[in-house]
This record gives sequence, structure tokens and C-alpha cells, in this order.
Amino acid sequence: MDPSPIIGMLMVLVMWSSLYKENPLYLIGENMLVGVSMGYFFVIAYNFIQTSCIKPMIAGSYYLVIAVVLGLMLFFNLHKKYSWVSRYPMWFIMGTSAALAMTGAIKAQITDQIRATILPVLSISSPMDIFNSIITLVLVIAGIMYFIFTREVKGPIRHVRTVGYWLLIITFGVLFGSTVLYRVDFFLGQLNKVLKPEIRPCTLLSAILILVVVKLWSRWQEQKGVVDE
Amino acid sequence: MDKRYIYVLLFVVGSIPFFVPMVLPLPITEMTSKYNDFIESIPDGSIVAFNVQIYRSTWPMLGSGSAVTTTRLFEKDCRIVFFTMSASGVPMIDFNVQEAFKINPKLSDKVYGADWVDLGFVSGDESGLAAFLTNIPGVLPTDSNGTPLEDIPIMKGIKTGGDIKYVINAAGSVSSPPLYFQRQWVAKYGVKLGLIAVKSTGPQVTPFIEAGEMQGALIGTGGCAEYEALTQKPGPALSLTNAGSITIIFLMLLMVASNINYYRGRK
Amino acid sequence: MMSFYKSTLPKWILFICGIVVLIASIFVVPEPLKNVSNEIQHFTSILTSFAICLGAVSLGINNVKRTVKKQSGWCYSIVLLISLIATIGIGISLGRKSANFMWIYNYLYMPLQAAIYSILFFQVGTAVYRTFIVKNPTATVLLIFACLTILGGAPAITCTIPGLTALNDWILAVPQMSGSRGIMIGLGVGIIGISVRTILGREKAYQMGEE
Repeated sequence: MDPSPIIGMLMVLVMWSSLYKENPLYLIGENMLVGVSMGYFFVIAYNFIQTSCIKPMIAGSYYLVIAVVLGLMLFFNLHKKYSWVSRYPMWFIMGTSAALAMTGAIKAQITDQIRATILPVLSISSPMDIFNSIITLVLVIAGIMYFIFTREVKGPIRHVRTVGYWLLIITFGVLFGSTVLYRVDFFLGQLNKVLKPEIRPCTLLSAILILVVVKLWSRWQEQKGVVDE
Repeated sequence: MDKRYIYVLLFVVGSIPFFVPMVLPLPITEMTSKYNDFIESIPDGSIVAFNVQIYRSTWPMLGSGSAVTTTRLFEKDCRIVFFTMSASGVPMIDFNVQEAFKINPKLSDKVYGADWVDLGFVSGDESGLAAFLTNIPGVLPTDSNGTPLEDIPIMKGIKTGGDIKYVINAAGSVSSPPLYFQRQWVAKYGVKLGLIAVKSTGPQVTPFIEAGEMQGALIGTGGCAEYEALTQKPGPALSLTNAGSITIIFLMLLMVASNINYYRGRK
Repeated sequence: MMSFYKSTLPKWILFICGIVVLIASIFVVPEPLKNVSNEIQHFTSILTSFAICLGAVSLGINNVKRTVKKQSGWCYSIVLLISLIATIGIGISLGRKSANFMWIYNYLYMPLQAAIYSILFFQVGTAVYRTFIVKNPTATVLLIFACLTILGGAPAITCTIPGLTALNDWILAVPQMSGSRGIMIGLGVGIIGISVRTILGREKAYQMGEE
């Protein structure tokens, strides 16, 4: 039988052992995760640089050497005295990213959203749709008004702001509920993996073993007089 | 109360459905309905771009939605251009296609290069996607196997993001919000986009769905389970959703207990 | 003179990149300018990959220093370094599609990552017990809608309470969507503000360490 699924299961149980108490097994797993994940990202990024930059540059697109030089300048960030050299590529990225985010946000997040709020009110459709679109228009205005902090809002308009406040509470409530469901989904997905019928007995045995090891280690720490943080 | 007692209860309650499986009816939500309508409305034989950003760790939650979508697209003879915006999604493209072939074995005669292609990883999140969409062969001159794009039949005539009319964004991480797909692809090129995402992303994308900028979404395990039921391709999401019921009921009871405790203590 | 190279010239590069991409995105421009904008975006994509490599190198250097100086937790740094070097070595020498590299991805990286994220479920469980208390009107409203959303994710509940799915759909489509849209429009305006300030070099947040 291929031991790989069992190794995967052990990795999960080692990390879950931190729920009982932070212990050396968990810290080994945590550091292994950081090492393996950064190593993995490095390999994939290296491949992308090869595909998108180095190979085309060797094939004739010599201007790509500018990208290589800028990329290597990033590594000056590691040196205190010359870290200013890394500003060139970093601010290059920032300028481009700022421009791209802005152009996309204008259409997708502002004009299209405003249009989608107003147009349904003007279109003739079922009474329920008209009701929903009017409610939506009022609530969107109330929600946006809540974010006006530049000056104090006085008079009847402050009631619109109050509606905006409660609307945002509803929004955050739904977001919070969705986040809880996401965590439930995630956990059950992992539990499904470790409780697969083929490895179930192994999982239960390993869980008991890891718990015993952590408990014994914890007792040994107490006897040594190590203060719990 | 020591929090570790709560952990033990959560483990036990979460494990019960895996020992005692149950089958429950599943109502279909509007978002999943819209997503299904979107997939069915894609003309047969179209080219579809598919961002596989579901990792092995999030596969139990969203994988079946991605695999069933791939299956339906292949059944409609659509040609799929796979890529991923995340390094962790690179091995999942091939895995996704193999899972689709398991759902419908008749599809295993689909030819790489003619019916689907794996372009691999596009670095840079929003700026990377923008660069990719302005010049696809410029950013990725070869596919993930090193074959030049000009030698791949499916990529003939595809130079920019506007050459592909339909996009599926399987964004399986909380840290990969689909907003930048809206900003860089839908807003600039007017493509039709369907989303597969985790539960916490659902509320964030409702404005796009209501505005018609996103055609539909499979949100979380529940959304994927509903899609499995709609397409009559039952899979792991259905059983996970049923398992989730008991855990959710337990969490609600925990909340009620904590409120009762609080108000009894106040008296 | 040095302050020109350390500060002024990078700011000019930021400004030029931002303006070229902005103009090429908004207006119909001559082909050469469009090509320059496309290549700037391509370079950005490549530079982010270099940044990932920088992150890995920086991690390695910091942990080597910790090991050499025998600082707290140095033994675990050795585990990290071995994992990092082994993964990079296998990936680059054997290729990222090799069986060994894929084994590391499938049976080390993914299970460890999944396990550490799934620990948050337990934090949610304790949060439900300790903080989901109906103390004031704001908390009540927040909890009611959170509970409706959570219950909507349980088929056992939705099939016994008629109309719960339709109610959840309406909450998502009208009040919650209105709030999200308001936040999104506000975010969009904020993005424009910060982007303009960044391109004009007035945003101080990224200029950390500048003399």
C-alpha cells in the first residue's frame, strides 16, 4: 500500500495537535510548511521567469534584459546600505499597479454599479422587481452616505446615515455568517480526507499516539518548571 | 469552560456524518441557478478561458464544481484554455481535467492542444492578468509543456483577452478576490464570467451578479453540491454539504447555550 | 546628487509607468505607445516573480542567521532550511512536473497548508461560544442575519423550514447586495484617490526608509 496518503494524514494531525497545546511536533510542521511553500513558490516563479523572459530574450527579444536587470535590482533589498537600489523595480511595479487598479475600478466598481442601481428603477417589470429596485436604490444611497466623514451630517439627512449604518450591520452579519460557513466547509473537507475508510484505523491510532506524545511532553515541561505563556 | 472541550465536541460532531452518512433534499439557490443557465447558454464549440485557482487543500470544497463545469463544457464540445493566477494552482489544471474524465469517461478522447490547453502560471495578480490579457503570447509564449503557442491549434487567433468571450474563474482562496477579474477582464473586454468561489466570497460578488457583470456563481460546497444535483452528476460536495448540516446545527446550539449562560450569570 | 538617484529618479519612473499605462488604458493611443504600455505591464508581471524569489532568498538568509547565532527556535530553522533547499533543489533539477516535486506538493505542502487553515474553524467554534452574545441592538441585528446565513447553509434546516432559502436569496440580492455595493463604490473611489496619490508621488506609505 502506498504510504503517501498516510504521510499526508500525519501532517494534518501534527498541525491539529496545536489545538491541545503548542508542541515541538507542531513547530516542526509549521516550519516545514513555511520552507516547502516558499520553495514551491520559488520553483514556479523561476519557471515563469524562464518561460516569459529568459527564453524569449535568448530567442531575440533583447529588450527583456531590462526586466532581468530590474528583477536583479530587487535583491539589493537584502543589503542595508544599498537597499535604495530596489526602489527602482518596486516603484515600477507600484506605478503600473496603481494605474491598472484605477482604470478597472472606474468602470467595474463605480459607473457600472451606479448604472445597475438606477436603471432597474426606470425599467418596467413586475411589481416585486420594482419594489426591490427602489429599496436597493434607497439602501445603496444610504450605505454610501454613511462613508461621508469629511464633515458632520446634520438635519434630516442624518437619518439616511442611520439607515446606512444598519444596512452595513446587515451586510457584515451576512459576511460573518458566510465566513463561518467557509470555515465549516474547509474543516469538513480536511476531515473527509483524514477519515477516508482506507486510512481511518491508521488515523485514529495516529491521533491517539500524537495526543499521548504531546501530553507526555507537556508533563515533562511542567516538571522542568517551564512557565506556560 | 476550557476551549479544548469545545474543540473535542467540534471534532466529534464533525466526524459523525462520515460514520453515519445521510441523504437530504437540497434546495437550489438563485446564484447556482444563474450559473447553470450561464454554462448551458455558452454556444457549443466556443472557446472558454478557465482560471483554476483551486488548490489541493480547497479541492474538497470546490473541486467538484470545477470538475463538473469542465465536464459540461467538454460535453458541449467547448474548447478550454486553462491557466492559473496562483502558483499553488499549477498542478490542479491537469488534475481538474482528469477528474472531469472520471465523471464522464466518454470525454477521455478529448485531445490536448485541440480541445484543451494548459498555459500554466501567470504571475502578478492584477497587473499580471492585465499584462496577460493585452498580449497572451507575449506573456506566455509557450504552454506548460514548453510547446510554442503558435503550434497549438486551440490558440490560433487568440492574442488578447477580447478574443475569448467566456471565462470561468475558479477562485478557491479568500486571499484571491475575484474583483480584479471584473476590473481587468469583464470591464475592459466585456466577456461573460462565471465564478466558483468559497463561501465568504459570495456576499462580495452579489453586486456584480445583480449588475449583470457576472453571470452566476457557485459559492462554497453548497453551491457545488447544488450544481451536482442540477447536472445530475452527484459527487463529494453533496455528501459534504449534508455533513455540514450537523456541524451547523451544533454551532447554533452552542450559540444558544452561550446566550443562556450569559443571561443566567447576569441575574 | 545621491538623493536624485535614491529618491527622485525612482519617483519619476513610478510616475512615467503610471501615466503611460493610464493613458493607454483610457484613450485610443498610437500603436507604439500601446506597445510600450503592454510591455510595462509584462515587465511588472516578470518582476513579481522575481519578488517571489527574493522572498524565498530572504527567508533562507534570515533562518541561516538565526541558526548560526543559535537564537530562540534555531532547531526549527534547520527544519525550515532543509525543507526550503530540498524543495528548490528537487524542483529546479528534476523539473516542476517530476514525480518527486509533485509528491512534495500533494503530501507535504497541501496537507500542512490545509491543516493550518482548518484550525481557524476551531477558533470560529470558540468565538461562537464566547462572543456571539446578544448584548445590544447592533449585536442582535448582526447575529440575526449571521444566523440566517449560517442556517441557509444547512440542507437539514432548509428542507424543514419552508421559505428559508427564498428569504436568504432575497437578503443576499437586496439588503446585503445594497450594502456591498455601497462599500464597493466607496472602495472604488478610495482606489482612485490612492492611485492618483501614488502616481503623483504623494503617498507616503510605500516610501518607508526613504531619506
